[in-house]
Amino acid sequence: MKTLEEDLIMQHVTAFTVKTENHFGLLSLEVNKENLKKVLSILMNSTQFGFDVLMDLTAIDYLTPKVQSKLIYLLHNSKNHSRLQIALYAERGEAIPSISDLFEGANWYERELFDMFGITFEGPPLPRILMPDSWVGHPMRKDYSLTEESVQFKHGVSPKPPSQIIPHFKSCHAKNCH
Amino acid sequence: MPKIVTDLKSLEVEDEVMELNLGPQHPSTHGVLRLRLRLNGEVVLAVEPVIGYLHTGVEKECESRTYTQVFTLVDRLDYLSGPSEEQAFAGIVEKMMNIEVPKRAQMIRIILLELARIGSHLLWLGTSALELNMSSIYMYCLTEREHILDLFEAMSGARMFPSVWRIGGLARDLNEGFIEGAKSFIKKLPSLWKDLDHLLTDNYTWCERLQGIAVIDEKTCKQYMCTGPVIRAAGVPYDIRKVYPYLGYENYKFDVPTYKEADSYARYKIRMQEIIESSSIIEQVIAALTPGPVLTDNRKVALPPRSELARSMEAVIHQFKLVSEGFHPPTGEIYGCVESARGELGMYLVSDGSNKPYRLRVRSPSFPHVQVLKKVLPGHHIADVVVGIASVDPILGDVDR
Amino acid sequence: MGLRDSKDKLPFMIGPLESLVQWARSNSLWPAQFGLACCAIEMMSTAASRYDMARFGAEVFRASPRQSDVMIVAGRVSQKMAPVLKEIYDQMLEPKWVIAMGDCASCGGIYNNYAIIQGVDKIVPVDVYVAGCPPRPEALLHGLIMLQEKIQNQRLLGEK
Repeated sequence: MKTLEEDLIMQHVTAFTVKTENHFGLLSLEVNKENLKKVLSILMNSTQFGFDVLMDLTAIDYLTPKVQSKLIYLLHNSKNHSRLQIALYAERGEAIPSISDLFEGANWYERELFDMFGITFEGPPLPRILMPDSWVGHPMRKDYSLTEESVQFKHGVSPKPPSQIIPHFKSCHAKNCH
Repeated sequence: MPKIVTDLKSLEVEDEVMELNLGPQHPSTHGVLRLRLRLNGEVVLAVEPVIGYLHTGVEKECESRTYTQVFTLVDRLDYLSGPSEEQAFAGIVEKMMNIEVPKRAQMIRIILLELARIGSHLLWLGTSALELNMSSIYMYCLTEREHILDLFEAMSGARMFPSVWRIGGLARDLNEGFIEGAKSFIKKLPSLWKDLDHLLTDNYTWCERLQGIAVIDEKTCKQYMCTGPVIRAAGVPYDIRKVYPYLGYENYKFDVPTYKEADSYARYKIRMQEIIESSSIIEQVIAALTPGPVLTDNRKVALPPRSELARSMEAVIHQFKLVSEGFHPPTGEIYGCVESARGELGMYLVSDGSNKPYRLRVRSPSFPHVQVLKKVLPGHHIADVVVGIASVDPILGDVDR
Repeated sequence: MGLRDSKDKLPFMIGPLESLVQWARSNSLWPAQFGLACCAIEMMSTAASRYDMARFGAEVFRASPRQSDVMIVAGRVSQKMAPVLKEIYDQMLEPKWVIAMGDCASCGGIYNNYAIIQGVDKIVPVDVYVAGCPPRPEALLHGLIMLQEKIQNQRLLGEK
């Protein structure tokens, strides 16, 4: 995105922004949940830049440094095809205002976030969408295990579950770092 | 009775309303999609799509696989155009790690992507026609698609999922007869296209069944984030290959067809046009193809060639490290998208510096397309529901992930 | 014709009748449509004109389970789909058979997590497993022929 446009955007929403980041060319603004709908409607309705399409709504779950989820709203400007990201941190059990009155299509994305992460939204009801209705737990949370089934071959041989075949190396070693 | 009934309130008579379940196992729902319909007679009053019958947990599974292992998981999501999923993932990892893909690899990737797009559209046309009881179209389209699968199989060993993408290029070069095979396929394609065009485009039955059905206009597209042929049928020329070019698409000339009517017939015509545009892109790429390497030299991400292992100790160490541990991208988040046969396929990757992704999110193009049916189908007759679902071309593997 | 235990003495004239009935059953197996994911596309290719499945008797894919003999489970079975699978299987009339097509239906395939049933034989009894991801159309035809041979060697009266 061009820097002039970034400055223009920041002029309008800097009062509500907690932090800005740049992810490989994509500007990301962090807001609080109270200001979420205000920021989105400013960005949507401004005559100078109209981010009128919500391309994606997703979340990332963290256990460190704090148990929280980060919601990501990816906005798209249909006239000059620039993009912008809004980030929002939510703790477990916190309810986020729903944006399905601004973007009708956000309803299913919010249902998916409730199903997978347990994030509740104030607004329309949130039945489960991907898992069965009677499922307990929210699978994409980091403390929900992958539930791999172990296999027993003959003579007591039990191979490693697939995720352990190549173990998880947390930090990169000095030689292979980029 | 008109094609679309607009006054639905008068039909909400208590004793006349029936709830019908177009269940997950159904010959015409393009996969395991369930629709709960409220009907008065044959007029649909409300539609509630229920998904989740193919939920595979791919996003969680990707968190416990290395970056090279993720390719096989991710290309089975959109199982008709697996290469586009692989390209989406490879594109963001290469951008994140700033890896240069050799020119020949980029061109071969474009050839495979466009062949997959043609195959996907042919299968869509075949199954949509089959649902309208035109089974000869099904046979013609699938037979032609077999030629594409033959090319994939000769190159990589697998028919539907070639899985030759690697970070930094491709796992292997094209085999000997590939270019000739692709050229002869492109030469025969226009005559098949003309046959299908003569059979369908001005066919009275086809036109009557498709025109005016499932109109998704521009405002609805924007509210429901529809992309791909759906938004192009509404008049918006939004194609990722033109707007955010990748793999060198800006070097090739191709048009982006758009129509204004935004109904199923317009989407059919767009997909037919896209087959022609894809074959023209393949022709241009084959003409521009030059010999060269297909995998990057960066030994920290790409395996060394087998011949080098006999001579160099360093190559053995790199091979060992890459196979037993994988590589470590820098910490960060990135979003990238490609134009799959269905629309914008985006991937959001969060890396924490370890050898496995922290979070991989797949923004599938069919998810909003199934949601928009809720808005667009009420007022149609039940026979047109099938046409409506077919025209947005959902792939449930992508929707449910 | 067919393998029989020499100890079991069949009643008079049942032998040829049994062969006839098993021959008829095995050569007109009508599959119930149960294509779920990628394997369904290969199943469609098998039913198309190059690898024609109709020449082995699988003429039409019946949409209704009550009109079909064999259920080809093609694709991964998720938690939400499992009760549906069982119900469709229960609605089929005897004699019925199941082909588990592909790795995901046979054993869970490349997915080993909370969402996928690790093998459809946890829910329904499977007669033939066809391996592959996805299996080639010829592999599915081989599985179908194997099922036909199995049916021809089954007893009509008495235990299967």
